[in-house]
Amino acid sequence: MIKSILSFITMLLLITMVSFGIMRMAPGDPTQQFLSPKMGAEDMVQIRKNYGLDDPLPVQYIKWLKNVMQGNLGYSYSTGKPVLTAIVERLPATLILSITSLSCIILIACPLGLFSGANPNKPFDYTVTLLSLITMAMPAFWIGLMLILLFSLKFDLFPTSGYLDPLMSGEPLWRQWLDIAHHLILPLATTVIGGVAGLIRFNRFNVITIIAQDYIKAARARGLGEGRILLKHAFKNASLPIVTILGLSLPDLIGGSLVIEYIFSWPGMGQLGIAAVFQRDYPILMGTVLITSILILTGNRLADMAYRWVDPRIQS
Amino acid sequence: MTMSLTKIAYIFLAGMIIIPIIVSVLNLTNPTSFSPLFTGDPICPCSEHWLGTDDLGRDLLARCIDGAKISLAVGAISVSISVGIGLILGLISGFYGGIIDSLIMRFVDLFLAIPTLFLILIIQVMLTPSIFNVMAVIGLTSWMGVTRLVRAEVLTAKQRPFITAAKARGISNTTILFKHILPHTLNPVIVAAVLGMGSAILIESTLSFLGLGVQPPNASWGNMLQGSLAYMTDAPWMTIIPGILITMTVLSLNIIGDHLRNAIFKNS
Amino acid sequence: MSQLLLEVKDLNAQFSVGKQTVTALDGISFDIQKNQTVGIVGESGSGKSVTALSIMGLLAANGKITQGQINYNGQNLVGLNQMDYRQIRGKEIGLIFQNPMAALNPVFTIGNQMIETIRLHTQKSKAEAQDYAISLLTAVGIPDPQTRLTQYPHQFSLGMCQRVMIALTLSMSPKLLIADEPTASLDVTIQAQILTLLAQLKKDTGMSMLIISHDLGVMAQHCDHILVMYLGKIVESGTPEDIFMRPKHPYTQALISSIPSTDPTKKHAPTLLKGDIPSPLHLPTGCRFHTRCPKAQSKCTTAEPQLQQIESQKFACFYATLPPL
Repeated sequence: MIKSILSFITMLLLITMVSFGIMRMAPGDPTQQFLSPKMGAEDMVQIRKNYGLDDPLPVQYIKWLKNVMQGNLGYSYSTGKPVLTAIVERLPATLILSITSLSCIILIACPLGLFSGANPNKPFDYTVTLLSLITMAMPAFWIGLMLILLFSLKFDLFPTSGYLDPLMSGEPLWRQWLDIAHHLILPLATTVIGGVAGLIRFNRFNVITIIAQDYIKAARARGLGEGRILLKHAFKNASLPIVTILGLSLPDLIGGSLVIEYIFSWPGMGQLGIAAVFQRDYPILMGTVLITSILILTGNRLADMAYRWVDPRIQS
Repeated sequence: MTMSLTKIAYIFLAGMIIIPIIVSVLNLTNPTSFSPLFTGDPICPCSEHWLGTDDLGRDLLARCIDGAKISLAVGAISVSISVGIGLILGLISGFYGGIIDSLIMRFVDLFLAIPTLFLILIIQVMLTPSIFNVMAVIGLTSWMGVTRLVRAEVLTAKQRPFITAAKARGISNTTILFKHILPHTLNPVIVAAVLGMGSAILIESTLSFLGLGVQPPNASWGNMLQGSLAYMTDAPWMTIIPGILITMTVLSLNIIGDHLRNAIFKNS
Repeated sequence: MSQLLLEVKDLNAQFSVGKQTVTALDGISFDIQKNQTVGIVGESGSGKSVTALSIMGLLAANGKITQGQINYNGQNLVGLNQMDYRQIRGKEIGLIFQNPMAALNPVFTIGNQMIETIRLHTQKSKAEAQDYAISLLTAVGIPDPQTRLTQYPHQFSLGMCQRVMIALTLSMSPKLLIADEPTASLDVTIQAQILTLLAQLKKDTGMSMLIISHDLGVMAQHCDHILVMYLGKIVESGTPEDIFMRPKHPYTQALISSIPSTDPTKKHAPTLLKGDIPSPLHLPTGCRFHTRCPKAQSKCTTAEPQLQQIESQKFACFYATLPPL
């Protein structure tokens, strides 16, 4: 237990150290954006001193770390707002997108993988496999663009961007929620189309392996029907590894949300991150890396624990 | 049915490699010249321009073929870098074990925990994006899977009796590693390379789309898509066609990779 | 009333491996009477397991019965649809496996799996099924059955798992129990316990058994009738006395000679068969055993011997009457 917490913290520190180092080592001066004709050379020096940019790298890192432990993630270079506030503001939107995406992916991939694996090399399986291969080969951002092209521009069914129509601010809460959902459809579809194939293939492979096992043959020998065998036995055995694979695909899911939030102007952490990258807003970037890493590492740990809890063969 | 699909994939990929080479060697098209028919709006697909033109009047087919060269080149070189790194780290980690192994594996875990795209974006924004640093950056962030794969192969090969026999004959460790163990790792590495190339092409197209990859006027399917954003309603083919090309190329690579993997599996 | 429970007539089974077809069973015929134990002995690749799976209708997707009949109580099982076969499996004919732990689903408790089977075949309620399960576990000799029901397969030893399998099968009261290498993965002492248990259950319930094994010792002790299989054909059959005292087929003779004797004065001189068992993809011409047979003559390479019968014993060899080696 303690070992687990220690490794969590070590990982977190390492990730933040590496990110910090990479950012600071890059050419290009973040103070450039503060340039204005009214400033002289001494002002630049002062600004650098204020931001501690002249200190040696490790010192800068320690200072940042100390601040973080006190809950201060710094202030954005571009907006001056506290980083923590900016990120927390964005968190709900990202969570809404991520959680609904993950749920949809699981709800679609599990049955498809199950039935494909149960009847391999039949027409259903071929269709599903072909569709999976095709969607895996599409760039995620292009899926978004195509969906916008078709459903927003051509058919005008969904908005191309945003989260909530500003005109909605006076409306009752449930109407606002409905509007958010309306805006959510396209980014959700993009994430799901891009992400579902991997899980389908994984599930399908597991199901094929499971059905070949002796205990399935033994169940048949006891007169159990194919339906019960598939939906009770094969299903439970196949759902165990899914928990781990979900944990492992968290980094990809979060990375993918960057581009999708950018395309749809979805006001989540991803969009914040991308904007910060272009603006070289280091405090925001470090804050985002920190929070994202915490989410990913926590997700991994939870997936690990969930697996232990669910698989009776592993006794903690 | 999968067999014929595989054949189609090989043919498509071969075409993707050969056609651009022939076209540029024979100077059949000009991706940078402006169409005489251009009047300010992109021209839709017609007899003079099979895929239409872009917003500056450049023939889209020519640009796509040009883009093929670059996307495939970037894919191939990035994958070579990542496979090279992965192979060396995996061999060392698996063979020598101990502290080196733990260290390298920790390193792998670390890199796997960072969202790759995020890291790449951060790095790219620091440097001035160009084809070369795109290749380097993708290569330097995609070696983790290969390392694990190679390490696993080395661990299995290490147990085999012929290795113990070789050691007993006094053959040096380095020779054992490179002459006896390395060949066993090549099969899964080739599969990983083919599949990795597909993934590299996807990453490059995303980077170029964001403006952090291949820069105009060099044509990459990704940056062509960036240019298509403003014209989505007026010239949808600018958005549709490069994307289809990316998808078909990556799809072919994935099918070929799967096919190779099944073929190896049958032989082992 | 007929004493015939199962009649296998001229059974042929084939598997398609890639583009090739392997004939795993070639003209197998045998009977099983009520309350009789029949044993099938042979090396791996002889087709013993395929026989068991064919009877149960559980051949793999690439396997097929191409000829013959399997008459159970007068009903031909070959070509039966899945719905009807489910009435036979478990309830009429049961099957236990070589690796008992692999035959139990690792993610469900024993209780869950037993109650599932019991409720499938009877009208019992959950509570009644649970009590029944406890009584079955006791009958097969598992101590503390109440706790055991809540446990998972990996918490049992292999021997206990096999007992659980037997309990599971018993819960359905089959008339025929097929045991495919039931003791192959167990320690010798446990083997004896399981076999004794099976013999006891046979006596108590009157069921018949088909024991498949490569272990002749098992055959000798528990079978009323023994079949010797080689590469998909029955090469010899008879009572244990016939097989052990008067083996006629050279293969059987070699098998018997390989059993060490506990008599120190008797010299243990096993007949060494030359070569390896041929691949079923490339069956030898004529008599399938001729490539390894110490008695092989030129006739054996061209003609296939048919089963001849002397009293209770059948054998397929041209030169069986030559003196034993």
